[in-house]
Amino acid sequence: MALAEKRKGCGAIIAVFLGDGTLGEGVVYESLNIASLWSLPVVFVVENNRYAQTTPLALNFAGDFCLRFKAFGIEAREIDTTDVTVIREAAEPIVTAVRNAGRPQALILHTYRLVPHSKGDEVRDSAEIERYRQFDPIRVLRSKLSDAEYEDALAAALSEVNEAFAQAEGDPWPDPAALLNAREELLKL
Amino acid sequence: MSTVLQALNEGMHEAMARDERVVFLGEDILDPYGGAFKVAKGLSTRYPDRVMTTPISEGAITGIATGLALRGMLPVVEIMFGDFLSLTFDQLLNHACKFRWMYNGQVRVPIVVRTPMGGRRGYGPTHSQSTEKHFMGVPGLRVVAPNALCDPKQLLINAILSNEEPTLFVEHKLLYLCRLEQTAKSQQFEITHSNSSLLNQLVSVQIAGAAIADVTIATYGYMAELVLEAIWRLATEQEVFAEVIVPTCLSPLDITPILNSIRRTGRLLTVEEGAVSLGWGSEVLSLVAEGIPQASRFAGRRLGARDLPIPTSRPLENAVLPSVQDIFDAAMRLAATK
Repeated sequence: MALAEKRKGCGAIIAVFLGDGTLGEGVVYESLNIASLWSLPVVFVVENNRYAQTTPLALNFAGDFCLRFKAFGIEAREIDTTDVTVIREAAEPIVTAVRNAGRPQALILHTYRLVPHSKGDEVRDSAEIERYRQFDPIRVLRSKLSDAEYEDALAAALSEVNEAFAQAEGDPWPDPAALLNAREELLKL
Repeated sequence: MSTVLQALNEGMHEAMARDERVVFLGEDILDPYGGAFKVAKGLSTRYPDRVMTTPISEGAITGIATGLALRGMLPVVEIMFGDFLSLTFDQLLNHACKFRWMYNGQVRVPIVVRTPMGGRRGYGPTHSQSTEKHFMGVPGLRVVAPNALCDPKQLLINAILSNEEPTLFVEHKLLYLCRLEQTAKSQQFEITHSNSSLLNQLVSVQIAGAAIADVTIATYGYMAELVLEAIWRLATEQEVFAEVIVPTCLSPLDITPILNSIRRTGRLLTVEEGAVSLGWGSEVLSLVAEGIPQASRFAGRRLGARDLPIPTSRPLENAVLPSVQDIFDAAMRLAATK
């Protein structure tokens, strides 16, 4: 996508979100090399939530987050916060730099996952999870907002979520016939 | 009565107990989690030095297992979902399966890659596939699938301890909870076991006390459960009788038992959960066409998933994957051919 935008010359940039677990896959490093080599406008955002499904970072990850990017000539910065206002301040110059220079950069966010990866796979110490609950991004933001601002934001978010649920629950189940017809179309060469 | 999951878990424990060269690698396999589908439960507690949880690096761990095998170990790799086997493909196709032949028989690569496969749980397009057809026919690779009619524990132990070739061991997710050798089943059905080889535990099933079968159905893994439901309906509702052949070694495949059955029925239906085109059934039908005497005719059909990605939505997933009704209908159409 970034290569397409670069070739079109329209100034758009691409944000790629990765996790600490994703960094295990070899294709990540092939992509970092090419993004740098070809000067592609990509912001790599690594959300290090300290667990790859159930596996803690210590059993998953060697070395240093920023150095992995720097090894490919990609500037990288890391911050340890769940405060969206701080993340915004850190991201803004990176986004601007990628837009202006047309080169990739990386932002590493050290964070935490407050809920399980999936159903029935919570094996973490509950005391640890409780310790991190004070960093819940909503709780952190709450302290920076007036009561009225908070209530407005909460109402807007709830109404969006509720509308999505209402629509999903109200919509009819999809019709298998449409899928099978699409398959027939595919077969016409 | 134990489940396929318990049998496979016991098989892993016994293989590791019997031979200390067995090492086990995979993602999220440490206790207390014990792997996404719990086949690994208890292993890391009992054998902390021989169970290695890994980063999310399927290609690397398959390559590492290959290296361990070249240096005398018996590695077992767990890939969390069969969908992710694509990341191991280069290591298997271009490395593990070739070394015995590239080095003129001086080395063997006895690795077992175990993986849960299949859909029907609403896991969507990237966690529901049956990708084994892409691995069948790879020279040097054995593709093995247990079912609830065979002895999955012994099959897994044999694959790990008594087998020198790279092996893909395919475990359907719904099979895990199936009970082994249900008593009710053995009253409805006549189940014949013939252990033709270490990796091929051949099971054939007929309706108990039935007349000569009209149709041969060849299938494997979890689909055997659905096929048994279908042949019970065929017998009780339509008086159409089927003989079911269920091998555990899918590739390379011993076609003889299927050929022997077709000599009696003249009709063959193959049933698999994977997308039907160029699948296991295609190879079975080809082997039958080549193996059957030229003078004798047979009618054949394949049933598998429609050639589409597997949808998340339940009614769409049901429409894509082969159902009991689909097996029933396909067998009826086949039985109508002379």
